[in-house]
Amino acid sequence: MTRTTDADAGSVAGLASAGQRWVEGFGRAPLDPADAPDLVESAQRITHAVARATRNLSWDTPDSFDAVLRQAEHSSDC
Amino acid sequence: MTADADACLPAALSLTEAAARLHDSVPAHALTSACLAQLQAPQPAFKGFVRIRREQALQQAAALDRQKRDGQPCGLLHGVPLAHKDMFFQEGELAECGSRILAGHRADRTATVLQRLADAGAVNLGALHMAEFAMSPTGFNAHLGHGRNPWSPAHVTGGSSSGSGVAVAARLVFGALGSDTGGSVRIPAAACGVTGIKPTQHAISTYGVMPLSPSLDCVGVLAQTARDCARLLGAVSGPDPRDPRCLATRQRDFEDRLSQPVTRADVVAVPEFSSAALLTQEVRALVEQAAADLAAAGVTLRRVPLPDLAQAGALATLVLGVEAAAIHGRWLAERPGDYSQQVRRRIQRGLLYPGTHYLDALRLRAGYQADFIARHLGDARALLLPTLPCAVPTIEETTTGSESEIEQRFGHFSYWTRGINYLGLPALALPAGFTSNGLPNGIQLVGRPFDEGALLRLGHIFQQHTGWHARRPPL
Repeated sequence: MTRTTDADAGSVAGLASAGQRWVEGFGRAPLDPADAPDLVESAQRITHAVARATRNLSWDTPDSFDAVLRQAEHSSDC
Repeated sequence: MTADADACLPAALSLTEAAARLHDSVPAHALTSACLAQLQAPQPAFKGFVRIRREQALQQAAALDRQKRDGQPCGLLHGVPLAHKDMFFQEGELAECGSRILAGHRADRTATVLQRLADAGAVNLGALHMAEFAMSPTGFNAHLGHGRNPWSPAHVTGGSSSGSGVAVAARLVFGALGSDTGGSVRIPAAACGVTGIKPTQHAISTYGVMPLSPSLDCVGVLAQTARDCARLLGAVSGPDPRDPRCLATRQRDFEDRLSQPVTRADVVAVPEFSSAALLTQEVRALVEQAAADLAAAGVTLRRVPLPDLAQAGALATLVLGVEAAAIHGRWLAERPGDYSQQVRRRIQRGLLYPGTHYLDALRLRAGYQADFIARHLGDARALLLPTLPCAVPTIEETTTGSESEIEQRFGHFSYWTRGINYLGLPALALPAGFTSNGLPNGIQLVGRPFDEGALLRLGHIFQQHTGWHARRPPL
């Protein structure tokens, strides 16, 4: 997504406005309107990257990170 | 100040060397006084301190001398002057976290890591400069002023543990605690030319430490050498029932194997850096030279595919954003004007991420780590990576342009470190040379979970064959 062209300027503004409504609508502090377009754009970019990374997760994949680390700690010899 | 104490200042000795002298003959009070005198002497460069605990430090040192005279055993850090990032709480004392929000905040508890250092005999000289709420990889702080690199005041210190990098590099203290959520120990270590370690996620207690992103936060240490870091990290390690996330079940000794000879098992993975890697030519050359130095020391090198840390970095950014936004939610609502614009924007972005993606990022983490280890470590003990993608920039280079442009630069600056926090792996930053602008730069060795001992040993081997860690700025 690029927000520097005239063609999509409207959609960026719309997205920024939606982002502001999202934040306020769910009980958080309002975003500064001047910051909202940038923040929405970068948050969207990050979210899409995370969506790509996690697309193959199974429905029953647990969050086993701490358990894996705990096992590593037990087996470490230092 | 005595001649003996002068000969033990950080400019003359490393932490472990000074600890040996303090154990044998030099009074703790004399060395603490000498270090405090350095802080008061006029110097052109910014010293990295935001508060000096003069009276408390002298009292602490005098008590240590009394204990020694009384025949009580000395701790491994007996009388060693340290200072720490201003986010480690000492009950009843200020801890302002580089912020206006917490200006005047007095801690109601003492951080486990501070207590452990005190129990080992270390003397706490004061609190060090840091980025506002540990939110900048350059050392930028709109409230306190920029951190100033001891090698060149026009250049950034790296952050967010800016003062920790400065105070160790300027040889004002023997070591310092920092925190690392996306590179905040390793980046200032590289930019200031000192050694720093980010341990495995949840290996060290974070009780009494300002939280930024509890899934990614790590307490780390900075010092002159890998051996010094091993001493400090061992002192703060151990189980802590007050920190429910701490996974340690025992105190660890990272020094006992440091001097073991190099064997065939000492394999370091070195990526094939393509032209697409986010890395300047001169930093790439520095990393390749470090690999050659390790090989010259007898370490076996194994070429591996270049890791794509962009994806791991995005995962880290989302997790950090959500957790920081939750922690700061009330202040964002009630005191938005007390944040700098840069920090407020970065925290507010976390309000926009969907909760489903946050949970998916956490569910992916264990498998992602296993895949990374299999692909990029294999049979190696460590993976050699850059710490910074480029030469240390000037302050001006990191503060000009729009907020969006500055944020993108921040993202690039922490490219090689941020993803490692998502992976939860330990990483040791080592000074490894200088770039053409005269500023230090470095490498990092990334290891398996809870294999900090291997990283510190490899770092020690590297430092026995190179002299970069011994260089100090011309103050």
